[in-house]
Amino acid sequence: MLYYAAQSMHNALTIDDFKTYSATCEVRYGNAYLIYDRTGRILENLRDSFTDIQVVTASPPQTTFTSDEGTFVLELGACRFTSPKIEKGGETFAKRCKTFFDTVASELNISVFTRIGLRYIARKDFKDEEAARKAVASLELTSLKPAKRFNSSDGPTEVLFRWEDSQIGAFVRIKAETTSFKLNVPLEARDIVPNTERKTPGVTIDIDYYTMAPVEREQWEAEEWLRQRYRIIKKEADGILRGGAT
Amino acid sequence: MSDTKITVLPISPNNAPASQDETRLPAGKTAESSLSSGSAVVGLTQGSLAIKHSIDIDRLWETAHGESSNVVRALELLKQTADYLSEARKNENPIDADRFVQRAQLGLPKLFALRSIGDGFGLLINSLYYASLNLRGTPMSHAQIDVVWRTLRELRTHPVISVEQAVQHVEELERCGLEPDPAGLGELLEDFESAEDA
Repeated sequence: MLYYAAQSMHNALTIDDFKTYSATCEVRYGNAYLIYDRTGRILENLRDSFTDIQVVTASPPQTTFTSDEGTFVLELGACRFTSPKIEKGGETFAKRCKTFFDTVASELNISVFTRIGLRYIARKDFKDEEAARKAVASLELTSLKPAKRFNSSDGPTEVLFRWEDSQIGAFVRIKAETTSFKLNVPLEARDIVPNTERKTPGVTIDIDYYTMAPVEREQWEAEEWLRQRYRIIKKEADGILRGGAT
Repeated sequence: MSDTKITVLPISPNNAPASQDETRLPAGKTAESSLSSGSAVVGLTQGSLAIKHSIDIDRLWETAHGESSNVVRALELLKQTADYLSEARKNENPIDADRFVQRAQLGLPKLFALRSIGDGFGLLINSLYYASLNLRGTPMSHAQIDVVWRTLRELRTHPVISVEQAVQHVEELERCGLEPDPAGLGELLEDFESAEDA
């Protein structure tokens, strides 16, 4: 009886119970050798649209830089933008992605994207590991009965799904895990700020929505596409969490 | 249950099965192998065969039922307009063909309202709109119908067309005898040029 009560409680999970951890959009392309000449120009151009751009690592084929709006990675064959926040409709995130990808595509003369992916990660905290694991098990996403297998946990702690055809693909992972946040303070500063560590048990939902076939630059308008895909991700994630509703 | 260190990110691409292809995260420098499949496809998509292997535009912009956006609306309208012209092309009877052309022309003002999709899109739709107005009721020839139909089909597969590409299509419209500029613009330009020469 208690089991069923707990199960119905967990089944009430919706995507709105989860807090966004990060949203990443990545585009891949054939090796863009202009990166060796134009990385600086790309950064200069982006300074007009993003606040306080700081280079974190730089090597000829890969540059990572941050701004108040998010993290950017520019590589020989791919570039991506990650934001820790994404508002309800995804408009601002989509606009920022458009600015970044339009700049990169123009400067690196990219005409075909081999893959475009939007990855969304969200978390819901639980009071302990057991509760997080039960929440994942109670979603009943597979026909496997909850049972101890391989001399390990009583039920699966992670569920992975992938849908793919020749054009579009999606990947969903739901995992019970304890996330460890650790702040390592330099030795000489520990009198002022002590080392901090916090462990948070919870459930992570990780969704990757991507194209399988190459996309020509003239087919893709980043802002509108990302807004739409974000809505689809939220809707599908909600359907999965509610027990497979479409 | 595993402890995921978040000094990088709680979910690293390495946690996923090695064969799977994922959108990498900022710390995901290790997933280089996932690029290999993409690189293989690039070879097929470059050059004249590029369009053949590209994603289906309707799949790229597929939306949930009841949802729409400018690009999705434009794709629907472009399909409808191109279909009318397709009917016109098939029709031997000039009166019937013109009837379909007129139906196609009705779609142009609606497409005009969606020109924020891109500069190239806006340029081509404007040009088609003025080319149709400048006919002043004269039926399009079969050659003109062909060119307009091809232009609309191209715009449907590449709605975010660049201005350079769009200009090439406008030139094609001009070559088949259509006038894609607003009436009077030519005279204005001539006046401007002669004023500059003087």
